[in-house]
Amino acid sequence: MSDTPIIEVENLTRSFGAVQAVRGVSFRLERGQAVGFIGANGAGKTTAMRILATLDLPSSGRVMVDGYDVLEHPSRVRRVLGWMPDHFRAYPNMDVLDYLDFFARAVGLRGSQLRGRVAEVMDFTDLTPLARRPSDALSKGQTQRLSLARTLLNDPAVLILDEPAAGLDPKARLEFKNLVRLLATQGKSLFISSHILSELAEMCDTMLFIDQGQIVHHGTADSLRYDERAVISVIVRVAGPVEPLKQWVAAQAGLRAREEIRGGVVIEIQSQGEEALRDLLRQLVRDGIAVIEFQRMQQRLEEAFIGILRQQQQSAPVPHPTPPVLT
Amino acid sequence: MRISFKSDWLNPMLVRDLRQVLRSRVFTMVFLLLQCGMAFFVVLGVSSSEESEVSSILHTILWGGLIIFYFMLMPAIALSSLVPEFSDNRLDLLKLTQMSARSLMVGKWLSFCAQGAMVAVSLLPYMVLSYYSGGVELGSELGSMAAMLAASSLLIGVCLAVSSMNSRIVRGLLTLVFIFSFFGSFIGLSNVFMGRGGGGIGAFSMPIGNSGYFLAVAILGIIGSAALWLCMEFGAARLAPVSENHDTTQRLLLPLLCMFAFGFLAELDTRGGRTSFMIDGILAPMLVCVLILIVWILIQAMATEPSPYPDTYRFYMRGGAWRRWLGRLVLYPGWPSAVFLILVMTILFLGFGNLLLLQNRTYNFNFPNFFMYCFVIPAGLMFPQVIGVELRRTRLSPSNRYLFIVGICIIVMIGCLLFANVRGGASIQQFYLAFACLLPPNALLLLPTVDWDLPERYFAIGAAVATGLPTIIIGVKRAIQYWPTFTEVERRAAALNEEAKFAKTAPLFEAKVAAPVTTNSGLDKPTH
Repeated sequence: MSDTPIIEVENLTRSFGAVQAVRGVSFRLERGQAVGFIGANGAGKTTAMRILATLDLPSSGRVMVDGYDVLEHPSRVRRVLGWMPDHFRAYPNMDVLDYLDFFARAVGLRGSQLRGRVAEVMDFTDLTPLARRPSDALSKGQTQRLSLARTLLNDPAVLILDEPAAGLDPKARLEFKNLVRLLATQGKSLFISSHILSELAEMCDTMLFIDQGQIVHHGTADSLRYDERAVISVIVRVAGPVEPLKQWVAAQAGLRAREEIRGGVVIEIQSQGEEALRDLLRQLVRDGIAVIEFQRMQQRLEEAFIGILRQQQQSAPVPHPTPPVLT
Repeated sequence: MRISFKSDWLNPMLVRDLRQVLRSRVFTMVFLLLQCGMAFFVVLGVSSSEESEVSSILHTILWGGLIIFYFMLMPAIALSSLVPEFSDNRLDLLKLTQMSARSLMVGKWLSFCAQGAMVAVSLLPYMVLSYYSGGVELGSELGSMAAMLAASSLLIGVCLAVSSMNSRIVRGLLTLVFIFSFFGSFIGLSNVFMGRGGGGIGAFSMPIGNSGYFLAVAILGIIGSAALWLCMEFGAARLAPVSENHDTTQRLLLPLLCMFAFGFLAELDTRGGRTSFMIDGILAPMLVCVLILIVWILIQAMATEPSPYPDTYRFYMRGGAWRRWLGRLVLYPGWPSAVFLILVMTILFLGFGNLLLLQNRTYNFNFPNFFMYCFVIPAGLMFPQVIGVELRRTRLSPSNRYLFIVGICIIVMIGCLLFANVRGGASIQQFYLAFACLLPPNALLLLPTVDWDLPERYFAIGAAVATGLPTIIIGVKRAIQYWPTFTEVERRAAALNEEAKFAKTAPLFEAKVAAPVTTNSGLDKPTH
């Protein structure tokens, strides 16, 4: 396997007339990584992804996929990537097998290769029982599986999935998530866009946040949930009355009772790092507080994202001097 | 599971479309109706005592049905056949395959031809039966059927190309223009060569004994193929991913069209002196049709942005510097080379056209006219792009930008026409109309068509030159300003050529860069 990153984007911009849809985006995606690309509607996700997929032209900047420049080797880039759009409709008067057969031919497969590959992707996406079902009469979940099957036909090294789980019911979403996870474990690089953070958090190793055409944050889901810059909040529940706990917190330096909850208090620690958590629990036990629950509060991902956007709006955007390597 | 696949070597789009069509209700119904109708009339013919009358009815119904099928139903379906590809991301998915837009268009066209051929073959037994019932010349009928299939396939090509436009109004208008251009020439030509008057389907019957038969078939074949090629390229250009270049291939059609134009021009002037089977009055419209196609290609070229893909320029980097200059001045996709292409075409047309006409001693060379057209033709074609470059920051696509500016020019011209019409006196009317010539596209439309009186004529020419000359200068300047960008992309193209050369000599590298699509990647079946 090559050492070059599977996707490398440097200072990518794309303008439509006076509107700048993508502004100086830079990042690198290593092989085998599953990266979520998050942003509100109109943030520039689809534009950036379309450029990656050679469907659109960058106004400036450099985009490499599997070591190939999208401008210099567009056809080679197309060979190594699979693109799944946010929505699509199959053709009328065509069943699932014929649909996949057509795309297998279109990507250059013939004969036994074609037969083998079509059967393989149908098996993988569990479409074999639906082989003779009209392709335009499938449920939304089945349609997305068909779309994924089509994407896998040319055995791409990197999959670009635009809002893959949008509009799916919980069961279909779970099935689809399983397929994506499986692909990740099989070494495929995945670049998945969504505006539903929780969904991406379960599918991706790391996430890239885009707003108004700029990357505003990158990191893992946990780095958002436990923002290191914020104070640590802990839920502490006790056996018996809450009042002694509140008094105890009031007497401690660096602690604050943020709010009272049923059977306990939410305590804010004005210190960072996990040592503070360990020390707090030790002190509580030492001072005889009957702790029955001690839990670090997670920020909801959506709230964290909104927090990032708010911070971004308050301070002038700082472009990444070097492309972030997503780990 | 066992899947039965056949026809691996066929165009994927052809296979897909045929599979779809054979399962569609419309095709099945039409096919069955034709068969039932034909079977009914054959039975009627066999059982009837008045053979010739029934045979005539059968004949009329057969041809009527075929005309409706080949010239109305199939073109109507073709006219909207690319529309669904543009919706629901289908086109994006096709762009990401290894199929080129050209093969996509050709596949679609072949699929329609195959449907037509299927219907024709299924009707052959009835034709043979009607031959036995008398009054029918089978050879002529089969020839007519073949000519009809050929004409229908060209019409379908036209409709397919037009179906790549999003707007229904534009589709309708373009169909009319194309039909006028191609079929006007086609029917006219076939009439000329067959020595027949009139037109319509009779023109497609070609008795082999006719003296002009082979020449007619050859010339019609060449024009038809060129027209079909243009249609396929036109449609492919609309479907293609941004990395594909269809502009240059359209420009390559220009020499052929020029050849025809000069041929018509020369023949028009000799007025049937050299070749007896030419008919006066047919050549002029055909020349207009060819000129329409030439102007269409030039406008397409002007309304295209240069390709940023180095791959497009690799061919020009392989030879000497002449190839690069040929590209920059004529063949590179995009408006900078189209500016020079227009100048080259203007010189070629005015130069050769006048030379051809000068062979005729009765022709008087008019220098003011020659001088005027030298400015008006290139300026009229360049003006929308010269202005359009200034409007680049709008969201309009290059072609829409071009059409938008042409539209504004035409509105100005209509305004001048209206203003001129409400004023009395021919000379005053022409004076107001001459104002419209300040805009080069209007000058291009008005100067050759209005019968100007002398002082107003000079005023109109003055107005046309006053704005035409700066337009050409600015156009050429802008095109030259683009050359550094060309130099950069040429450098990258040359690097790609070097890389490819290296890949040929280093097998390991070759294996890496040109690895075929691999299969059986070992996808583990998930536990659903």
